[in-house]
Amino acid sequence: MTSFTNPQVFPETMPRHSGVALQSIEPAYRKVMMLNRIIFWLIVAVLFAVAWQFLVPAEAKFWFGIAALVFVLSGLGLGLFTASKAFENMGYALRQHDVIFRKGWLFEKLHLVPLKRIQHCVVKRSPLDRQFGLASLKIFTAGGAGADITICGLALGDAQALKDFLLQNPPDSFPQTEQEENAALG
Amino acid sequence: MQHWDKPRKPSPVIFLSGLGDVIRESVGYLFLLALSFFFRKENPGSASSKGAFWAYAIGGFLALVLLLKSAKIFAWFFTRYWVEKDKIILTSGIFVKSRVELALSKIQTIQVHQNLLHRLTDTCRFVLDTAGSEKPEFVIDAMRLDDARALQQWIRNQENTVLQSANEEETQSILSLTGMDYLKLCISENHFKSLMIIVAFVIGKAQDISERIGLDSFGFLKENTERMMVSVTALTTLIIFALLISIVFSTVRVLLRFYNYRVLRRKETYEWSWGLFTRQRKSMPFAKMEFISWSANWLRGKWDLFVLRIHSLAESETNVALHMQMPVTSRQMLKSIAHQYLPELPSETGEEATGIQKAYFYRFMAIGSLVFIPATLGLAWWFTWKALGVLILFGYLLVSRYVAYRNFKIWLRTDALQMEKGVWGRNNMVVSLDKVISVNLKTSPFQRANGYANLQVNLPGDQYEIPYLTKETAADWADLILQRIEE
Repeated sequence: MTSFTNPQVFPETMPRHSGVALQSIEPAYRKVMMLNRIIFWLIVAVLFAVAWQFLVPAEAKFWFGIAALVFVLSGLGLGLFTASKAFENMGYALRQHDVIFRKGWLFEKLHLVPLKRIQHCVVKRSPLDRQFGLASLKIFTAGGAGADITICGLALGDAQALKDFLLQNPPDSFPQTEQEENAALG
Repeated sequence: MQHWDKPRKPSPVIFLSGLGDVIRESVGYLFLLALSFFFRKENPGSASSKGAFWAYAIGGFLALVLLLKSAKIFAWFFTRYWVEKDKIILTSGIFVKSRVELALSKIQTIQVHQNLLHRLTDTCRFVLDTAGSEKPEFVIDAMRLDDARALQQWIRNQENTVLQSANEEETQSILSLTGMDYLKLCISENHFKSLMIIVAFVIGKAQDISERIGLDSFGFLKENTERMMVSVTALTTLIIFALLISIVFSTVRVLLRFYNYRVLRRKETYEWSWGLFTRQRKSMPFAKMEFISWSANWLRGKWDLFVLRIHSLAESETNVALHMQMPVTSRQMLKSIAHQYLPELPSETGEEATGIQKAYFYRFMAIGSLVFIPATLGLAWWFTWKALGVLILFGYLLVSRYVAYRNFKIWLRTDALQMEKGVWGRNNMVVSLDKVISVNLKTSPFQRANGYANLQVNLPGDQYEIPYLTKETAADWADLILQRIEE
């Protein structure tokens, strides 16, 4: 005899993720994103300068310099613009049973990770993060490459607290809603 | 009743097995050494010392190999395995000692392989696999077959005490292949893939020989190819010859993969055995089945012939060590085997499948037109009418995309998700929703503007993406899956 059951689920009774207001990440992280892009394009500019000095023939130096300058400045401009937009679109939310994290501007990705599936978490800090008092929280699941998420731009204290909360199994410190409290009290 | 808590040695056959490994690994180098000797340029002055030099060289080489591989040959002296409480332990190594401890509950598959030597000596290679790494963690190259079977049964019993009452009477054979099945498998094999494997192998070996003995094998081939007159007869002969070779090769591949293929259903596990020269045996408990998939190319689909894969925990589609692959010769058999994972396949319930949105095709057509049409016009400047080839390619890609859109079907029930896709063949995947790890919703600017989203379902070790659902459907499905994970 099988114990298999397959009860009907009504869409209107399902808890929706779409109504959840996502929490913005720390404003200082916008500066980190901008600085990261500036550093990247500075390195590119230095490489172009080295090539200009040692590899480019004298007769081509002028046009090479102009092209490189236009390329670096437009790349930097685009990088800063996309960083700003990506920052505005980035957000996270913690629900009783899952973590929601949204990232990306042109190509947006919304991760929904059930707390049950979290294996472990790591708090990471880059030198720029340390400079601005920030940290990233990397959440590992048992899934494939696309299943792990990194919530960047959290205040260090928030990242630590979030990590501690996520690693409770099952999480028990979540504040109960009024309905749940009433139900528990009978 | 055997007791596994005392350290045991492997079978002494491990000496021969180790020696066999050493010979197998060295034979390629010895062959190259012989080739170097054969093709080297003659130096008249050194004729007298030639024999002695090569004797020393080969002798020294063999001594070096023996030293480096001594751990394999003398493994019997240094290998022990035993069980402590809830874990199995393997210690091995002469110079570098290693100790492997596997929790019994984490063992995903138990494999028993028998090559010719093992069969003659009634031994086997015993492999335990967890999801922890790419390679199996616990390998004993020669163990008595009876011991291996007893240990296999003992481990499964420990995993599930219900099994303690299991006996051979509860074993049910659910699959064995007939001569006609083999014929169908051989005919429907991907011969183009076989041909590509042969070509890659030949090129690889030619490169090896070129590097080792200084022969310009590519130059030789090029020179001879240029000399050959390209005629219709020569081309036809070449194609027929290549096709014949690939058919023979495909047949060999099928026989090696599926020879004497048997699937047994025990009380709590599936057990597979197969192999022509090397007899292999694997088992997987039903509880460790994470998701199942099956595929068929066009011809196999017509014959109701599928390759079914039962996936174990946390490894990808490509890691064959952790999934079971079997040919299934009818839909009834497919349902019967899948039944153990899910009582009813979502596609068999009579519910209508959901498709993806047509924008999936239109967007490809729009972007493709922007790329292929200017490219054709540009190339026509140099290549005149031959540039039409690019448009023909685009036409083929468009048709493929349209067929892919039409064939994409999804069944989502409250207990499982099934996805069917493919252009000329079909690939199916079924996962019980409580096995899903997480979900992602992905959108591009085009999708956001038009109300579409891709739903990515992350499974243990793998992920599947359903493209171009309406935004509301994708959100609803994500919510439903999350709810089922929690229940």
